[in-house]
Amino acid sequence: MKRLALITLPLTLVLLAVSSYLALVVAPTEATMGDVQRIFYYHVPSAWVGGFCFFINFVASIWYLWKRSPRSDALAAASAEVGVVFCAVLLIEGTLWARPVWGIWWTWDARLTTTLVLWLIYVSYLVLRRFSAGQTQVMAAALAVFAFADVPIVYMSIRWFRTQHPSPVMGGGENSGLAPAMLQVFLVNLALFTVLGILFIWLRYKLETAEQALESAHAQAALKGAA
Amino acid sequence: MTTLTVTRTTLLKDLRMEWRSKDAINSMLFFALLVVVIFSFAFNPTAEESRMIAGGLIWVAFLFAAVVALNQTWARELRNQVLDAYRVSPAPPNALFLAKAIGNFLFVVVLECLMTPLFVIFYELRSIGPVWQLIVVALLGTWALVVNGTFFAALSIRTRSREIMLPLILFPISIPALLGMVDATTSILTGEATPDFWIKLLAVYDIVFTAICLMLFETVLNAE
Amino acid sequence: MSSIAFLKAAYIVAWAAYLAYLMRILLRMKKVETEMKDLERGK
Repeated sequence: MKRLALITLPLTLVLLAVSSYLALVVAPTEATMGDVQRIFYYHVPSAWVGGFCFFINFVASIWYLWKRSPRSDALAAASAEVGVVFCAVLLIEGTLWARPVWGIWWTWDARLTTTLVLWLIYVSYLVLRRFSAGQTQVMAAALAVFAFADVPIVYMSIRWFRTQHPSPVMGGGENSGLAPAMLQVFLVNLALFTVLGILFIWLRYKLETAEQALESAHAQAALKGAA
Repeated sequence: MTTLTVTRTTLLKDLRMEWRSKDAINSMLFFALLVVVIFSFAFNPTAEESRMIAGGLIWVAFLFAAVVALNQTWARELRNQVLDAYRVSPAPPNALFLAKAIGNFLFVVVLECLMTPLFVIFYELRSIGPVWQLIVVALLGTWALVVNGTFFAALSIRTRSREIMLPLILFPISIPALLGMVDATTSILTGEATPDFWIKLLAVYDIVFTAICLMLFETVLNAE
Repeated sequence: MSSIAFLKAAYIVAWAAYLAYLMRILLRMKKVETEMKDLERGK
């Protein structure tokens, strides 16, 4: 296990450096926005990984409520934390992109606001985990269900305001779609970010289970001392 | 025992206790009054301006005040091990939840009825749109806050520093409901837009989260 | 070309955040491992 991490982790980081080079230098410059558009190669994959993490969190929480396996709880905790990290990076990159392109740091647009609310909700999930005194797993799993159910409602409610965010570039209307050279670089980045996200979840999951094991070992030792 | 009888008995018990002590309603009322006065100082709006901002002010005041009542929901039951007794009894858990949620709903509705005249006085409010729509928004919005609040209060009694925990987990989830209430109220008061979308959104929110609360409450109550 | 500064900032922020998070996980892992060893030796 450890050896696998030792190989994959540096490999992913090196490949990410290469893909960043591709995104920054090799990919063609976008016509209207200029070089700032290159944030896109980090921004969209971060969004995808964040959403993926929150989805994993939801599935693992449901699984926990059903089977009560401590491992699925560890997975839920790990994926929520990794999701919050990616989501935070996503928000920062979004503001850094918006300033030169829109001229403002922030606007209450559907996608931005939904992401911010999502981030707030999962931070509150992590706070609940940190502060709970006993029964953490059940409480957290219940909150995770609420959190996930809230996402579409948040999106609907905020879409009622005017939307300023660029519509999804791929799979949109007639004029959507990336130039092939951009698409290749984008897909490479997307794949690498996904690997990075999975790697983070896996490491964080290992940490969570190790901490659980340590806690139960402490409890065992205390029981032996008492007896 | 059926759900209905348990709900009614628990609800009547809570209402009677509240009627005798008036703890929740008094603390909520005073809290909301303070918020109204402080906001009035801070903004000092004209009649025109207050129509624009009143939706936000009213609901923020009610939200903060509701947290005061929600935090006390389970405290009494915890003190005398009533929850443990409830766990071993055959009474359906959802009946307990519904009674608590309806009780909180009634407290907050009473608070709103008492506070609305004050808002009208301090902010010179006069609605341009139809007032009956405001009542619909208030009822749907209050239930939206209270149903999740009652559930999260049950979560937060198991945490350290539980009084702080409730708003931390309740507010983020309630953002769409709050947005709906504020925007619907503003559009009715100014008469510039129709609140239909927001009323539908609040209804959907109420249905979805009431269903989730009822599905999960048994699990949370029995977690030991 | 101040927009280049924003681009650089975005890439630096992403790398800094991910590396910092990675370090945090690894350090906590190390701590748990040493504590586990101490516990076993202490017996």
